[in-house]
Amino acid sequence: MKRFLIITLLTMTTLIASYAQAVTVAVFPVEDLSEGRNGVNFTLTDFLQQNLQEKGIEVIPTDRVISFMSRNRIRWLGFLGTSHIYQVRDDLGADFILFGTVSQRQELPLAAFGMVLTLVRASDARTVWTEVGGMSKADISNFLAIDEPESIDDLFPVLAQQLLSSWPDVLEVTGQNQCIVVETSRLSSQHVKPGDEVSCSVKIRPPAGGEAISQVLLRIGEDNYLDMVQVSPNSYTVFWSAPDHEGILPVSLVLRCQSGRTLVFFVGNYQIDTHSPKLSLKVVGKKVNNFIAFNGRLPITPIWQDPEPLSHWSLFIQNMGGQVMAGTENKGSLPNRFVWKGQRADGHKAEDGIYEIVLKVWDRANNATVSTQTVFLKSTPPIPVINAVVGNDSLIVTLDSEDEIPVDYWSAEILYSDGEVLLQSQGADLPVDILIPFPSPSDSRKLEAIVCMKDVLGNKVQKKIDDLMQLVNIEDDQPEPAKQQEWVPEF
Amino acid sequence: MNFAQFRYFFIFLLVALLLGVSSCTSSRLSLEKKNVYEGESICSVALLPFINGSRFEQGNLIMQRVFAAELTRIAGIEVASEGDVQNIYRELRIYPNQLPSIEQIRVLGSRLDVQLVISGRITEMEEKMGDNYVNPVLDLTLQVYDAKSGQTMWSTYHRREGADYRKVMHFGLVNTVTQLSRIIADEIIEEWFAEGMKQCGK
Repeated sequence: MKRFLIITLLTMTTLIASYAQAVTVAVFPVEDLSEGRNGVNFTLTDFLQQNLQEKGIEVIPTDRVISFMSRNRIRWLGFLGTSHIYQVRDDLGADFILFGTVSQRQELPLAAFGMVLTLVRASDARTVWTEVGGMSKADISNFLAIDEPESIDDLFPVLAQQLLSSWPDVLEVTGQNQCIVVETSRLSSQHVKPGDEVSCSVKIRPPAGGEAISQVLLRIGEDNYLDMVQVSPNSYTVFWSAPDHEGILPVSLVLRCQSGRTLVFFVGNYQIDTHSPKLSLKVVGKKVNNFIAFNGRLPITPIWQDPEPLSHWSLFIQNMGGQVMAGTENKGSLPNRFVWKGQRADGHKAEDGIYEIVLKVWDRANNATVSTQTVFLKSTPPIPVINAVVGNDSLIVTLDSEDEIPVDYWSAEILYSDGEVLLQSQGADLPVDILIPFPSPSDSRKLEAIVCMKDVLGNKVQKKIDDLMQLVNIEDDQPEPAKQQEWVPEF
Repeated sequence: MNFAQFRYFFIFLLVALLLGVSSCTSSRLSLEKKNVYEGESICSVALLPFINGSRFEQGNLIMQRVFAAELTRIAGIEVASEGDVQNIYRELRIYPNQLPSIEQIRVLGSRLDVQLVISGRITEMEEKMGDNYVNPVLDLTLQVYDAKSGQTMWSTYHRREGADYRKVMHFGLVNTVTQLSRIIADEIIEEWFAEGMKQCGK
């Protein structure tokens, strides 16, 4: 009787064990990180397959697994998405998927091997078993160094066996109910103006043989529900107009099942933006006659009143005729500062004159703002006007400038032709009269003048007059207006 | 003190010294709680792609795979499929080395039906050569986000060296980066539970 009981017990245990392991496992090619992001280790894949077969587990052949991967364009190893996991079950008939990752595999400085194994149930995509291990040559020290590993080829069977030793005795093929997978969701655009069209598209994967979905809705805000339209099997879409009020509205996908269960998936927020960006332009230059004037380098700084992210912007400089001299544009945020070097787009200097800087920005909802600033480019030096008249006991030299830009500084040096300085004078205001005492009549040397001027923008000029007296003569030589010789009768 | 007594005293001194040396491990585990998690026990999380700030090639992937495995193995937490996370990253146009925004974390959490989202950055991972042994070093920071609100809950920093686990002579040394990653993952998970994270089913 006792013997019968023992035999019965052993038989039952064996049956239960064999039933427990009567599962099909798809061993995906083992990812080998030591070979880079796309490294693969078929040796270890084969080793794992053999090991599982020895446990009495049915293993899907590698070529079928690879064929599945290529069919489904799976370009990575070590993991799958939930949809693909379900597909492995449907296409390959696998109950479980074994993923392996070689975390390290090196011979030097000491042979070392590391591995992560993960077993995923294909029916509900849940991880049912996982093990991690690392082993180095230094970890195994046997008496008299007998059977100590020499290389990674000796290490990996030891480590793999060690990890597989905790393989579950019983593997439950049936797990939880398959869940509904939202494969893709797309909300566009997430920043809109009032009245703009907003759309949301989703693709869902209903569970095979699971509860059916009776209604696919989109919840906008708290209580606004829209029916989504099926555009293709399991793909739904809906369009609506953005409301007039400013704000951020959450959008969620609501799936109502026939069982009465409701599933909610947050898709994202969308923002209704009613305001244009608020910014102005600040340019650094000298204020001259109600214009900001500069002579060749103009820093332009956008000043935000209320900063906000931008979708794109453009900045251009045009003359008063509307001709664009230079410009730049880009996506995203504005640079902190621009600098116009007074050049045209072809690199040549722009002519002196009035220009308009136009900065146009668009926020993410495409609200646009234009900010302008008028500037005056003056890169040519001042034009000195030098006149001389003979006074009672001196020569009067009058200095002036023809420019509209005020002079910041001037200097005049009167000297004889042999270099002897007769007079030096300088100042900031123009026009100015400089009195030069007459040289003695016996002095035959010419009087020279060197005049320097710098305007408030920094443009400089230096003018040399070889014979100052000639200015006087020129004035003398000027023809007098013709005198009227006879009376002209009026009529 | 006769010779026999001196001999015993000397052995005692030597053992005490060795034990003293072996206990000089320097665990640098710090946990900063930004918000107290008041939810239920944690049964599901999603791991965002870890960022590698070290020179160790694929160091982020090694730690990410090990951490995911250990969350399931020792804590019974279901980790969302890495493939699903990557699909959502592509859909939301998040670069692998970029952290998602609060809204994107909420989308991730909702789509993957997880309670927490965890991101990680490996700041140091290397294998230093010691005297006839390799001393692996791992230094990382983890951020834990509430999947519903997208808010950061906890921030954890941990650093360990393989030599930290030395017991006597070369015994106890951790010789591989993988093994050190596993130990660090276990220590972090244990710390989280010790600090109030509720284990699934408890």
